[in-house]
Amino acid sequence: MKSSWNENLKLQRIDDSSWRIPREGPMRADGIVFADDTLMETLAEDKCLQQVANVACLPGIVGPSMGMPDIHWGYGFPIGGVAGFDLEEGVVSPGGVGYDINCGVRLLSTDLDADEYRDRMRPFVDRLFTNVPSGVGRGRKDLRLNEGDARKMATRGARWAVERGFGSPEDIDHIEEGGVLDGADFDLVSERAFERGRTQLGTIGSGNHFVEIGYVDEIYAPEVAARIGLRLGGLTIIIHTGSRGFGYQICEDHLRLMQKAARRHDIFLPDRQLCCAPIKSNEGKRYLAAMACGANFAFANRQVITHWVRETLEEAWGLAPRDHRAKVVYDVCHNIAKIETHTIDGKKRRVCVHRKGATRAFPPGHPEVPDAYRDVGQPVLVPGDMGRYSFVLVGHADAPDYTFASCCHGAGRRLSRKKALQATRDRHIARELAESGIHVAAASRRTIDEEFPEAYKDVTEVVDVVDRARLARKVARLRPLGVIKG
Amino acid sequence: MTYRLVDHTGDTAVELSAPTAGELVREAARGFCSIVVDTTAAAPRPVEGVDLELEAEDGESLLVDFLNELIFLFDSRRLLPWDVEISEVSLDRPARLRATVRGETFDASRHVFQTEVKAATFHDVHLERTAAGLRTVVVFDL
Repeated sequence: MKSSWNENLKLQRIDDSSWRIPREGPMRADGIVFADDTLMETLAEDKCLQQVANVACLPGIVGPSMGMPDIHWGYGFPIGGVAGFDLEEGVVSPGGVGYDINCGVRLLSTDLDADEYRDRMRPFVDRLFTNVPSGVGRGRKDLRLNEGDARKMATRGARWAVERGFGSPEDIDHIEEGGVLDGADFDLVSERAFERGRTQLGTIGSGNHFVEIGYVDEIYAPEVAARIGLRLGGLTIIIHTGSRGFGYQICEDHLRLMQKAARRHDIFLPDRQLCCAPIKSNEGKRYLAAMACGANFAFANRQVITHWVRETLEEAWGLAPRDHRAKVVYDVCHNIAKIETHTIDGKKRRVCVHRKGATRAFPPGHPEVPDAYRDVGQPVLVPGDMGRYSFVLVGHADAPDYTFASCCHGAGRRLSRKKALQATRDRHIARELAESGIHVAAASRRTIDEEFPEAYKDVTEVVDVVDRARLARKVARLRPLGVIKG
Repeated sequence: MTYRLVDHTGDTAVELSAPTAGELVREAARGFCSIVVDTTAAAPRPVEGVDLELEAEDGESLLVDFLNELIFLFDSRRLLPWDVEISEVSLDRPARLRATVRGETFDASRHVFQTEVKAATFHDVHLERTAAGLRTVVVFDL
């Protein structure tokens, strides 16, 4: 069922970092958006608040439909959207995960000091650009998947990659879900998805995906930073990519099925991209099993790239593994639907949490936080733009229970790509960045222009709201020195 | 008969308008190419052909499906779908398209790659019948 529901939204201030969109019309729950006054001003310009309200219309929603502080206009769900659904009454929506299933971020720490390598960034970045394919090019010729490999990869995720010699078993301990999402069924993945993904494992893609080398330039919680392996001045690497064509095709295949399923189950859709099916229906179960394959591709992808980043450190700077000791700090998913247990109004409930451009942020003591971090909380990785900062946080012990332990995933775009190109017409962004000590390699000048720092909100503002709203706690700030983009 | 890229904060949308359903489909292909590559960098050489046959419940779904076919062809075969030869098209219910996509394999020495397109979405897609023909906006995930 389609509708033209599109009322003027009411917006009520809750406190200095959150707002309520009260339930009305076809909404089944309130919307809650985390933003300060400055961020809220930018949100009023696009349709993302309407999108929060639209998600609140879906059946079986538990708690509010939420927008994290980096929320912006998406397609269907807003980017930065979080919503949980009851397993009996609720729905699962491929649009609430997105095309790039398990797009996510991985952070590596090293034993290297930024000051020692700052002047040797250019050769590292150029080598990295060769070693880790991006843009339109296919993946490396030394990594092609046959169907047998793909089946194992799709069900074993990062563990498959480690078994194939990419990285070490210790890496696995510091990945969300241990690098593999259970319940994956490769038989539900189409021939097309396999065809798209076959040559794309070990590639970053284009758009906002990247691999960035940088360093820790400020520490807010010294005891936590030390525990997760971050030290002032230490070189770090951030990998931001997802499930490539494999995941995009899985999403598209199931969106088409869900258009029909939504009609059959008589679900009201304020936007067709929100099409969905009951979690317990055949369509819902099949989507979750196919989605897990996509998620596992993304875990394997970041694992393979991690291995090539380590090789690049060795090749570009003549190091041995014991010299750099590049370790996985953590790896988070920020486009995913997961069945999780949460305490809501004092009661434990199993819910299917959709995070579309949002990160899980489990608090200290949570059983799913790796042993080594259990008492400090799950690390949360929030990359900013390529000229300023990125942040490392941990889940907050006092996070509001209705948030399902969720946090933002980035800075959020401020300018569309078109406006970014207009704004940079008379500038040479790569040169400006190089002058400020940040070396960029990209498939095209256009990509660099579209992704220039001011195209994004200042991630500091976003993270400050996160910290104030107790969604997560600031641990460290990272600054970029070199970036490769597609 | 035009396509026009429209501002969208996170992604990109293309506005299509044409007097007929066939022309709208051709504009959709041109709009797609203009996102993926710099269309001013090299003259199109529509030398390869791929036959397509699509059916969908309505015109909106057909257009989205068609664009996703083009995305698949580019992602799996590197085919730049410059133009479309239409044999049969209807954007009424049930919608139907029989056509040959004419294009060429992406060649890094001639073509300037701009960005990868993940998918064409169903977000807010409405096919309008206007005095001048047909008009719609399709949002892409980049």
